[in-house]
Amino acid sequence: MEIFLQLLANGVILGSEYALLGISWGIIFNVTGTFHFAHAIVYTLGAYVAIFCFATLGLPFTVSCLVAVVLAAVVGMLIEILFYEPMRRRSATSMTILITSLGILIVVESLIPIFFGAASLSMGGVETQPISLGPVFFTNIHLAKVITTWALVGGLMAFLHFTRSGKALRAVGSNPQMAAVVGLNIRRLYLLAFAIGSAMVAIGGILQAMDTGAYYTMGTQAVIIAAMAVLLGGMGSFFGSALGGLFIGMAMSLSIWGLPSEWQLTIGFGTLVVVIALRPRGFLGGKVVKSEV
Amino acid sequence: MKRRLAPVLCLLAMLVFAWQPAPAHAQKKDDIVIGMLLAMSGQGISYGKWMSQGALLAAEEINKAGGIDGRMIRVEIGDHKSGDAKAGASEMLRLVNVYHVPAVLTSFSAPTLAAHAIAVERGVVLINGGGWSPKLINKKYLWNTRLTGDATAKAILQVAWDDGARKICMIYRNDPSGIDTAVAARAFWKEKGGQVLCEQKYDLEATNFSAQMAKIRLSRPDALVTFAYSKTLGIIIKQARDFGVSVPMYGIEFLPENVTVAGKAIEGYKFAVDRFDVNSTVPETQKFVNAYRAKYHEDPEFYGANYYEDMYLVADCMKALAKEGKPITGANIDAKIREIRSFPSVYGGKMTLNLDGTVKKPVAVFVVRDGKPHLLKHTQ
Repeated sequence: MEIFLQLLANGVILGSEYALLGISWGIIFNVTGTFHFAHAIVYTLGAYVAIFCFATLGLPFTVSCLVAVVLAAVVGMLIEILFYEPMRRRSATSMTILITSLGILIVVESLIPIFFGAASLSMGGVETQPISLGPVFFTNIHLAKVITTWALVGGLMAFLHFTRSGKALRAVGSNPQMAAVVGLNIRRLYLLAFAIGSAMVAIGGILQAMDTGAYYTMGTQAVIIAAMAVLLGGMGSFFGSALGGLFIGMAMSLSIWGLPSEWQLTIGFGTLVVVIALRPRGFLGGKVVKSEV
Repeated sequence: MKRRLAPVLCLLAMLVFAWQPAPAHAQKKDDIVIGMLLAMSGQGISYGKWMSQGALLAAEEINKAGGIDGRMIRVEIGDHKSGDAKAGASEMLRLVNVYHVPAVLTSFSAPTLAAHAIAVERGVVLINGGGWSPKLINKKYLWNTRLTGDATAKAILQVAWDDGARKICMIYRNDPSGIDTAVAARAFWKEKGGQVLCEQKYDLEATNFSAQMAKIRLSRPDALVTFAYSKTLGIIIKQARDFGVSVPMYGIEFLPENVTVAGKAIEGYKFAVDRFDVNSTVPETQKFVNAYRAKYHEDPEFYGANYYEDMYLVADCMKALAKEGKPITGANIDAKIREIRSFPSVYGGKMTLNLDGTVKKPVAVFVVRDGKPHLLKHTQ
């Protein structure tokens, strides 16, 4: 029982981390249809900029995080403006855009060690405080991850359902042609999706840097998890992306209760395969698409 | 017009990127190319940097001193992406087929083992100064100038035993460096009468060890022993403390960046490694340390030292072959290593290679205090 409770707590922490990755990538994918691999760079950038501002420039922690998040949003929008949007205008296929995105990821990832060095960086000065609730152990950073993720998920869902811009984003994601016909500014909404997704993933990157430090390849695995979360949660469903992330984290943690721990990644991907085979649109994909139409 | 120009501009851009200025001593037909298989990308990129810096410094010095009978040494580096065996084999093939290298300085266990089959088939000698799997010994054409994991693991387990630990848990990477070292460690510990309560493995790119730590904590060991390396080591140490593993921790690796990641959690961590001391007063050490500092503006790690002396080892063999009028081939270099076996070392004195491919070097045990390693003891 003791181990189950610890694994459950681990699952919630890991699942929350993945949920934030999922929803940040999901808002871009669901609205624009772009398989945005370069999201990994924005994630890494968020962590590196926050560390640079906090540890090197000595700015206050909150200001450092704010600078990182704003810069990440700007970089996300720049990627859309400089690469994806011109390609879409020239009728590039989704595959071409995906390859371009992968190219951006590889090029920028290779440049990071030149400017920041190859070694891991940390948010020196941000102390990790252990917390124990009976037999369950975690830290203040883990708690921050869980609270921040679900606050952001809740905030985003409220924005999407109760604001004019949010409803417009959902409409574009549901049917871009129809949205254009009714006069929505698709280009502006695409930029908004990139800004929100990039800002959110930067927060994920900062939280990760506080937990395990930042390193220049940290985004690659994160973006794969994010895409898995979206596929599992259901393409087209914003909340499904977060749910998919939580599910992967829980599955990876709980399933090794009786299995050797090196099976964790296999279980994560295995879960995706099984769920997609049984429900090709993921957990919430079908339902949301129907309601949007 | 724009459409016609586009392909031309693309071609021009590719040419600009592909063009590289000729190096100061541009390659001549009779240059000797020495290969290196290093972690030039991925989680272990720091190792690749240190190792290449050490070897390149040595090559530069050798060339300045006249090279190998007038022939210059040129270094060609292949990237095994921090331990990917497939990448290691593919890069080894490139080094052999394109550059016809007689010798390759390798690193990491899995890529070295993958490259070994090609080395035997093509008659190329391998000098490994970084990988530590016990499987690297007793292999044709493969010489190790780093202590294998079983040697350092036994040294650190002895320390754990002396500290009073009897029941341990082990955590290591699911690859030859981890698995084979764990086999030797398990046997050593059981022979002493100790108990291994649990063993946890992790994959190449793992950064979350919460599940492993839950299992370790609930096994209630006296000590946690890890055969982790690269930045992963720091994350493991930090997450052990985060998830309530409060017992002493022991390992066979340490990097300065582990302190950056683990913070206070690394205090008290004890580890056994090849003993290289930048502050040593031994003239050979000081000569290397000063040259390294002058060129790279940082202190060398023992990895830099290993590959520096590995390059000299290969050069010494090639010089001896040239003097005897023998061709410089992998097989001849291998035979010359067997013949000489004792080479000058920047650790001080001589480095002696055993016929099973292992090396005799001093082992040192350190403890981390105030974020810095402090020497506890050293043995041969």
